[in-house]
Amino acid sequence: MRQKEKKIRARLETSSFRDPGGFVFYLDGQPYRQINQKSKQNFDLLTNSGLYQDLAGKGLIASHAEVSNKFAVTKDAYKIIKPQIIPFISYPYEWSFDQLKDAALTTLEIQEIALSYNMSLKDASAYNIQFIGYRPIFIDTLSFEKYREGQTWTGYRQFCQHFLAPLALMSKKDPRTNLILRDFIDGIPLDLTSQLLPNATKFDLSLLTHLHLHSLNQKRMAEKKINKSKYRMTRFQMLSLIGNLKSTIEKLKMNHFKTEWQEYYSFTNYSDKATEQKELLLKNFLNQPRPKFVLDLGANDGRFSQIACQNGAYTIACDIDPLAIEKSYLEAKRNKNSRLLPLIIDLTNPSPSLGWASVERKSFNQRAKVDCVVALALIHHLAISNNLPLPMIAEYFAGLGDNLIIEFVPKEDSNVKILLQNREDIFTEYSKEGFEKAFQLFFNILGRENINESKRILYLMKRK
Amino acid sequence: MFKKALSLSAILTIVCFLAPLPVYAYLDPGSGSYLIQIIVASLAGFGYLVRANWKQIKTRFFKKAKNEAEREKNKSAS
Repeated sequence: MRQKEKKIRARLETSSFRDPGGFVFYLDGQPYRQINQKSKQNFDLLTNSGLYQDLAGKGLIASHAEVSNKFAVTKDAYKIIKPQIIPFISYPYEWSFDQLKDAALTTLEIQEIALSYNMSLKDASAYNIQFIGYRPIFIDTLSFEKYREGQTWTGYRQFCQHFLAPLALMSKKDPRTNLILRDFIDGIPLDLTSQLLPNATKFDLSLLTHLHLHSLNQKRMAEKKINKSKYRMTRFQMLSLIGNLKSTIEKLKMNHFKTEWQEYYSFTNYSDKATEQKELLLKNFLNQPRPKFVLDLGANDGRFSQIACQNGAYTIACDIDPLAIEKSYLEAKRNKNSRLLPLIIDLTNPSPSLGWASVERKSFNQRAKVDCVVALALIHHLAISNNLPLPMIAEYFAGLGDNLIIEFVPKEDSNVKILLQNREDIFTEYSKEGFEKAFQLFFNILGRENINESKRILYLMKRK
Repeated sequence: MFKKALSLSAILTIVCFLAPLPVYAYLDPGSGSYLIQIIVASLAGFGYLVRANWKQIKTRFFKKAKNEAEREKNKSAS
């Protein structure tokens, strides 16, 4: 029906279909949200109660402006709003531990505030949170419903699957378990979580109840109808539940993994002087295209991404290592850097498109379209560790951005020597000449600078 | 204060078992999840009440116990 009524110019957001209360669409590339008649009461309550103003004032919810109903896509439109733009859409399986933790705490804080306005969140999806730099922000205006005395929290199961289960697994098992969220679009099933968690977590009362017993009870009660009139929850009980979830999440830490950082990240084959010069060269190269949007690939702990931020660019710092991204996020949070968004991305296997019809969540490649790609100390990992031919790397980078700042790390470099020490050198094309030849298929080389006290070269290129 | 807390929790428990309530949701909360959250909420709620009124509880029960023990002691001494 909606398809029939759809105006030709509007493009529907492929992830916005589960809630019949409304949907997101795009007009001339700009996002809008249609509020359907069905949501009239809840949307009006959100605005008239003062909840929206309170949340927007605290920076917890994406702000919006009401626009004319002439933009309506279907006949049952009540209102059309134009939400604040989120610079880059990211997903929970790309967040580090503390990013997911802050997203969880933001959701709980919003639920607590909503209750004081007689409203409640009707879901608790991690996909309702986005990041603007270090700051988590709630984006779904239609998630609020009128609170009815005695009701339970409908989003509780979803909260446990989307937030508590992955956080507990990352904290108690392994930081890489965040990737399980990629396979389960509605959060990690609790029976799987319960099986994967160490037995010691059964002695933690909060994890025992919210995860282990919750999972058991799901199995026990599967397909059983319950008399909901018998089981009600007071406002005090609901607030206690939220408070308990909050303290459970706050208690989860990754300290034992983080201690490995100091040694790991202090290791570099650069002298301080060379690092300083590399920073200066990067600054100079960034000054030429003056990008507004930078993608730093293989960003490690985000040291060089911060230079792009200082240059005025909104920067996505990607790395395969969850601990590096965690460090980068905590640093951005400490500095209140709203221009740096660190994300866990494995470039050799970037986030695919997922969900219903494989279009619900967009792939990394679909989302990553920037003014400038930065790839420092990365090429040898792709070409040598992953056997990727240089022209394929160049073609991929050309698809991501108009400009490229890339560091070439030759075979004489001690780090490349380590990569080659136990294997046959089959990389005959891997040389300065081979590198330039491959990249000139897709780019024009605008600048080329040697990095002092190293054998590395920094290039500035523009896509052909 | 303690009496107030006690009567409040009694009221809360009674309210739990009162009139039916329609659920307006597009998400299925799941029956297993439905019950477990009520159990956790009740336990957590009880925990908060005890913590918030710990001083009164301590004074009421422990002092009473202490006084009784002292009274017993005095009785046996006399």
